[in-house]
This record gives sequence, C-alpha cells and structure tokens, in this order.
Amino acid sequence: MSNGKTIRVNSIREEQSLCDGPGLRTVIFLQGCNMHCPGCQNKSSWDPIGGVEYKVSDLAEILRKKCTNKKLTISGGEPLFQAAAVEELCNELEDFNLCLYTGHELSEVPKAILNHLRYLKTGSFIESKHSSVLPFVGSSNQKFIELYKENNNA
Amino acid sequence: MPEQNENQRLNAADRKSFVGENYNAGKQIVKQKVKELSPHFKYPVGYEHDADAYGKTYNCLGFDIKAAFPYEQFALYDITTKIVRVFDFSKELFAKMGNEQSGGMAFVNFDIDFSEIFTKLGVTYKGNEDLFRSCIHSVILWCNGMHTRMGQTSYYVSFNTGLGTDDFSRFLTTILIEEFENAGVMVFKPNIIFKVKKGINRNPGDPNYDLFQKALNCTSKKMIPTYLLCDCEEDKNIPAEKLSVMGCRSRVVDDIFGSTGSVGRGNIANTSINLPMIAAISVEEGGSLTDKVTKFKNNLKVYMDATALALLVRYDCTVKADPSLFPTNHEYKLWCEDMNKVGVEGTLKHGTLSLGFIGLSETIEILTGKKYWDDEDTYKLALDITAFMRQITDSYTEKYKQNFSLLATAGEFISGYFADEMKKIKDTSPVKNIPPRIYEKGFLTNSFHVDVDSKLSAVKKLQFEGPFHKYANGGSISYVELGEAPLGNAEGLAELVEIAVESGVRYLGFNIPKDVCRDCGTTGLFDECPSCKGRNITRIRRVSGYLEILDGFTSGKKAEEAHRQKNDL
Repeated sequence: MSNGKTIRVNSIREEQSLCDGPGLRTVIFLQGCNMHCPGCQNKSSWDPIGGVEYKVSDLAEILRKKCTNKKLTISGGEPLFQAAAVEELCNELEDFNLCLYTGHELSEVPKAILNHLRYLKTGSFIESKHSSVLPFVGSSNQKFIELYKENNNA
Repeated sequence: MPEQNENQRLNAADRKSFVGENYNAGKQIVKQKVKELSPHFKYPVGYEHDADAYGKTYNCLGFDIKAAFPYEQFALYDITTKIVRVFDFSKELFAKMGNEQSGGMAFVNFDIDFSEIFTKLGVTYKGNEDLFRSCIHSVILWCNGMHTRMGQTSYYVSFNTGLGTDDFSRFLTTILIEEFENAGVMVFKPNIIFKVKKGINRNPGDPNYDLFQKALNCTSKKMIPTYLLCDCEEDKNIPAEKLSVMGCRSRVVDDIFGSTGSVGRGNIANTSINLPMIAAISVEEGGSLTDKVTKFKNNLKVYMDATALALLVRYDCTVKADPSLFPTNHEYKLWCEDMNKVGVEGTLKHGTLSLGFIGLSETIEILTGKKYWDDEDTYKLALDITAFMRQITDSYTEKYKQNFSLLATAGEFISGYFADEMKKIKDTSPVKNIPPRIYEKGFLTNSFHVDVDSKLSAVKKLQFEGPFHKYANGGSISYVELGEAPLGNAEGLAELVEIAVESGVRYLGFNIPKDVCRDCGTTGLFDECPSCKGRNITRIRRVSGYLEILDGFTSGKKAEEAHRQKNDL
C-alpha cells in the first residue's frame, strides 16, 4: 500500500492541546496552504516548499512515539493541500483517533481520508466571525463535526 | 502594617464597618503579641495564620450535619416550606459558623446527606424539581454575594459531592453543578469539590460517570468544581465518604483520639514555615552540598520544634476559650463529639495542628543552584526534605499526643509577606545568600509546587508534584494552569485527572485566566474586550482554593499571578 510518499511538516506542537478536538491531543501542523485567510494564526505554514520534508512512514513512526494516547489532530497549513500524503498518513495510523482541521467544506474532503477520521473541523477562518466561546473552532462559520461515536464505525 | 489592613478590607469586600475596623485593629494587636511570644521571629521564618482568631476559635470544619439535624424545626411545615426552610437553614448555618470559626466550612457529602435529610422529612425531589433548583440557586448566590462575615468579608463555603448513586443524591449533584454553571460568569462561589472514586464515577460504566462528565464540562467554563482524588496513593484505602476538603485544601483524616476522616473534624491552627529563609541561614558558611543539606535539616528541625510548641500554646488557649463563644457548635453538634457533653477541649482535640511550608522550589535552588525538577538527584533531595518534615510532624503527634500534620500551605498572604520581609533585611547576613531574584520577584512559590513560570507541560507538572502529596497529610493541591478555557473538552480534562491520580495527586484544580467584560459579558484573556472593545474588565483568579476578583489580591498574589505561565499540555 505504501509507495513511500513524502509530506511537508511545519511543526509538531511541543505539548498536547485541549483546544484542538476532544481529549488531550497531539497536534501536527502540515506545511503549505492555498487559502490564506486574513488573521491566520500560522502564516509560517503557507509557503508550499517551506517546512521539513519527511517520508510519511517515518513521520508516522515519530507520531506513534510522541502520541501515546493515539489522539492526533492533523492541522496546518491546509492539510488537503497534501491530500495524497495525508491519506497515506491516515492509513499508517489507522488505529488512531484522528481529527482533521481543514478550511474546506465536508463535501470537499476526499472519502478515502474521511473514512479514517473521528472528527473534522471545516470552514475557513473569518476574522469578523472570531469566537472564543465555541469549542474547537476559531470563527463561528466553522463547524466541528463528530463523524462517528466510539465503537460505532458509521 | 497599614497595607495589610487595607488588603484585609478589600480582599473579599470593598466595604467598611465598625465591626470590620475592630476586627482589623484586634488582628494587628494579636499579631504583635504573637511576634513577641514566638521564639523564631529573629528572621521571617514563621507565620501564624488567622492570628485574629488566636485563642478564641479554631480554623475550619467539615460539618457533621446529620448528627443533630433539627428535624423538629421542620416537621410541621408543608412540603414546599420544608424545602425552602432547609436551604434557608443552611444559609443561616454558614452565617453563624462563619462568625464562630476563622476558616472554611464544608458539607462533606452534600448529595448523600441532604437526600437523607429530605427523605427523613418526608420530602421527595420528584414533582419538586423546580423548587429544588430555585433553592440551590439561591444558596449559590448567597455564598457568592454575601459579605457579612466579620461585618465585611465573604464566607468560605465548600460543597463536597459526587458519591451518592441513588436517584435523590444524583439529582442534588446534578442541579448543584447545573445551577452553578448557568448562574453567569460573575458567580464563582461556593467552591464545589467533586469527589472522584473508582466504581462510583471515575470510569465509563460507573453509575455516576455522567455526573463526573457534567462536572468536568462545568470546570471547562468556570474552574469549578475542583477534584478530590479519592483513589490517590495516600487515600485510596479510606472510605471516600469520609474524605473532604473543608477549606482551602485541608486534609483531616487520622485521629489519635479514635475517629477517622473529615466528618465533624477540621484544622485548629496552622503556622507556615518559610523554607527559603532557613535555607539562606543554612548556606551562610558554605561547604559541600551534603554539609549544606545537613545544616538545613538541623535548622529546619529547630524552627519546626519551636513552631510546634507555639501551636501547642495556641491550642491550649483555644480549648480554654469561653464555651459560650461556640453557640452553634453546641446547638447543632457539628463536630464529631458533642461539645455539650465533652466540652470545648474534648471536641477540638479531634482537630489538627498543622505545620505548613512554602517555597520548597526556592529552597532547593538556594541549596543546589538548580530547580528541583532539573535532574533526578535534585528531585530526590526535594522529596527527601518533604519526607523529613513529615517524619518530624509525626514525631510531634507521638510526643505531644495531639494530631499534628504537615500542610502544603496555601500561599495567599505569605507568598508576598515572606518575600517582602526578606527584602527588608536583604543587607543583613543570611539574606545575601538568597539569589536576589527570589525576593525581588515579590513572592515565594506555593508549598512544593513547580514554579508558576516553569513552562513545564501540565502532564509533567502533575507527574513532578504528585509524589509530594502523600507527605502532606494536612492537605495539598496541584493546579494545572490552562492558557485558554478547554471548552467542551471534558474528555481531555478527564485524561489529566487520570494522570493526576496515577501520579499521587490528592486534590486537583484547573486554573483558567478569566477576564470578564463588565459591559457585554464576554470572557477570555484580554485587556480590551474582543467583542465590544470595552475596557471595563474584571479579572477572576483562584486564591487559596477559592475564586476571587483579582483587584482584591494581596500584593504577593498579584506578583505571582503576573508570573503565571500556562502549562502547555
């Protein structure tokens, strides 16, 4: 299945987060974004040839070591900018509780990725709709979706 | 100390009264007396908490509410009136007891005890849900807004809950949390302590797991409830119904006079020891690390011995106090023994005499030049010193036949007081051995806590602090400082609770910086409201286990708050 794809990574958050999906989650920020929302918190992730390039299998190994509770949020950048590599990463981590933070809408997320996800955050960041009271999103137009409940792969 | 007077007045209420003025004046006189009487005041080494209560009353109490509950007062009312009057009774009890003792008061098992009381009165919650809600809401607002204690300050009330699995108990826990959660951002008292216990509420499948989740969701918004971890190493073999927090963090469990646990017991008096000052005295002559540590331990023992004697003197004064100073205790028998039968001493002997400590982190820094979490040997030394203090307090229990305990003291007043006092004498010999930044920053680090600006992750902080809890048999707490509210993330908070239990933490609080825009109600962390651009901001933070408005913090606490860095997770 693995054909040795590479993936560009902006950074892995040093410590786990309580604000990027339910649970104590490790967050990986992928490199490259074509959405460029005004007010973006992570502009360093925009450059498509910035960051560090990893073999997907090597990155999966690093994440397995770091993320012992297997709760991982894939953020960016725009993760779907590297959709094929993200799909491979999801395959490598198929036993993980995965969450994807994309600026796209649900209908635009490839099924092959969606099948692996427990949670999905959709919608671009709109500065005028910034909210600090909604769980797990930055602006009120964004949606945080639970795709399946535990022990109930639907 | 006029500044302190000022703080006292502003801390919990910004109003003055002649009672309050008398109280403050009396407090200063007593403090001066204590200072003259105490053998260890050449340097700022010790601090007697609640000196205004010296010889007049004790500190805190977990009410034994069922022992002499006055059922007859309610018997002839109809159901509606019974419900209203029982909650009115609890407000009146807080008011009376808040003026009869100096510190915190608690319902040890709010859910279980009140479901039993109501059942005995022939009251069921079914069909009366709305009335129960209104009454509990009213009690919450009373605790939050009433500033009549000593004529001027607020009441320190704690509701321990979460263990009752019958429908009535579950209903009471549910509405207590819901009414607190929904009461708005400016309601931040009383403290609610959720008791976490395996088989009851800790894991999925436990009968009250849903209540634990409800509590965590409330905490994610409001920092309350806090969590008493009944499965921690220190307490796992004690029935959880006997455990509680009655004030800031006090733990009262063992009793050489025969009882066990917190029901009808509390702390009598507490003196805190300034460990960094003793460390500075101990390194004055230099020498190897072993020499310094040996000298430190010897000096520490001398100061602890003197403190224990001072506590015994205070205890003797307190138990000889005029019994008429305790009318509510006599009437409702809130201690584990009946004061009418055994007298004041026969009752208060069940309480604890606590030796507290502050600044273990700075102490290790003075002795070794390192932070205690820097390497294994330094960490072992920090644990060893704490174990040493516990051995000593245990030896006092044996020697003096009183319930001595070691308390990881709340830093509220002393964190700044000791730093200021040390700064005042900074040109005299021992203090020059303290790195100036320790007192220049204006506060000492709470008990055995990791520095507030350590930037350690929350998980690591809990893992480092956890093993200290078991030594502090007089009480302790660990906090996780969160940068932003973990809204909707009960799952993540539960993971941190789990890590805390496994690390040995006994009592856990989550701190979220909470700034409230008084114009539009927006909350978060800001100087200017992100919604309405208003600048009328109130800051709510935790002090000594209770939430307070920041403007009323003591200077040391303000300094500490300014240094607080979130623990990344």
